[in-house]
Amino acid sequence: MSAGWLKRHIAGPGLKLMLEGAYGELVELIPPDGVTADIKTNEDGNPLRGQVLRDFQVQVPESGDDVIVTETIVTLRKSALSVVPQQGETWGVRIQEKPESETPMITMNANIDEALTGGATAGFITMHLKTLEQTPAP
Amino acid sequence: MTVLSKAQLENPMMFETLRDSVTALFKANENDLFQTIDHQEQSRSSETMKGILRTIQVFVQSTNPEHSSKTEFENDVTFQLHLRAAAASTGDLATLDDDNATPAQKQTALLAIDTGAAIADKAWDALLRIAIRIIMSPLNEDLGLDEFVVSNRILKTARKDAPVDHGNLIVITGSAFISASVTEIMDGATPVAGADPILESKLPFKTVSDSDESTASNLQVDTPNP
Repeated sequence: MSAGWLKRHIAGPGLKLMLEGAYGELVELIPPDGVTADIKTNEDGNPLRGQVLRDFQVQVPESGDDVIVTETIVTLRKSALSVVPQQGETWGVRIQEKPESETPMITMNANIDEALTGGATAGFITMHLKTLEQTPAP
Repeated sequence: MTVLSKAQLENPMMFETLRDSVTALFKANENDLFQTIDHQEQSRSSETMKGILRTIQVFVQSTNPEHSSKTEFENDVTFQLHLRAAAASTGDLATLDDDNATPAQKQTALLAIDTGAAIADKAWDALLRIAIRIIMSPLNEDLGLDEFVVSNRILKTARKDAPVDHGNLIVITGSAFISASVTEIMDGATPVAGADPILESKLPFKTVSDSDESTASNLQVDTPNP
């Protein structure tokens, strides 16, 4: 088992299994380029799936005040996407409201400046989502 | 040795009375603009301080009783306010969720998203403004207590922290400080039975009785010429 084989496995079938296997959830992306329609399927034409973590809570004591924040993190395989989010872009991301299947989808946004991680070699992208609410009427 | 009774020890001091009054002042002025927390919490979820649920947490940070052996002394009380606000991004969700909207329309909607950082920042500033208005209003000079009970009330330095760099919401915290002075009155101590007062003087003093009229006649008072 060479390092090259391991890398290809991680970038390919292994990654697909990890992110889109039994615990993968439905994800839809809204590209900001004004040309590409919503991305709802992967390269095989199957519904786009990814890893969605909702329960990650960060306690921030450095301000002297303990605030607990909930963070939603979506990880997707780059090879599954027809368009890959880039730095400086704001994307719309639709995820299931709850991990259970057939729950309503909710729309959040991800500013790719904030967290474009995953690395070019490993082939995945991680997005930290923000809660998005309807702008109040004037 | 002085022994204080349980009742004396449990009798609230003025700084505690002031604390309750300041807290009541904030609660009475919420006007659905914020919520008051009258103690230090262990932690709080950002979801519970979003929008008008932003919080002002009020508690006694320190006291500085004047060094005195008298039964009355000035106590400088400092309150700390933890100001916390959180906000979500806002945008045209209706268009983003519309399957019939074109990519160009969705692009416009994405570009127009107002980040939570700007909203939270202004929300925190507004919270500070509210706190200053409540504390520094001339009508609240006595911080809710009777006239002349409180002196030197002022809202001192306010500091805003950097936004929390994680989470679905943008959270901004910060602190402000209120100080005021009150007069503490100590109860008389219960003396130990059998103790006699000890008077010491380096000058010989003469005990003057009522019958000693010569002392009174020797007193002279100089009055200025009209």
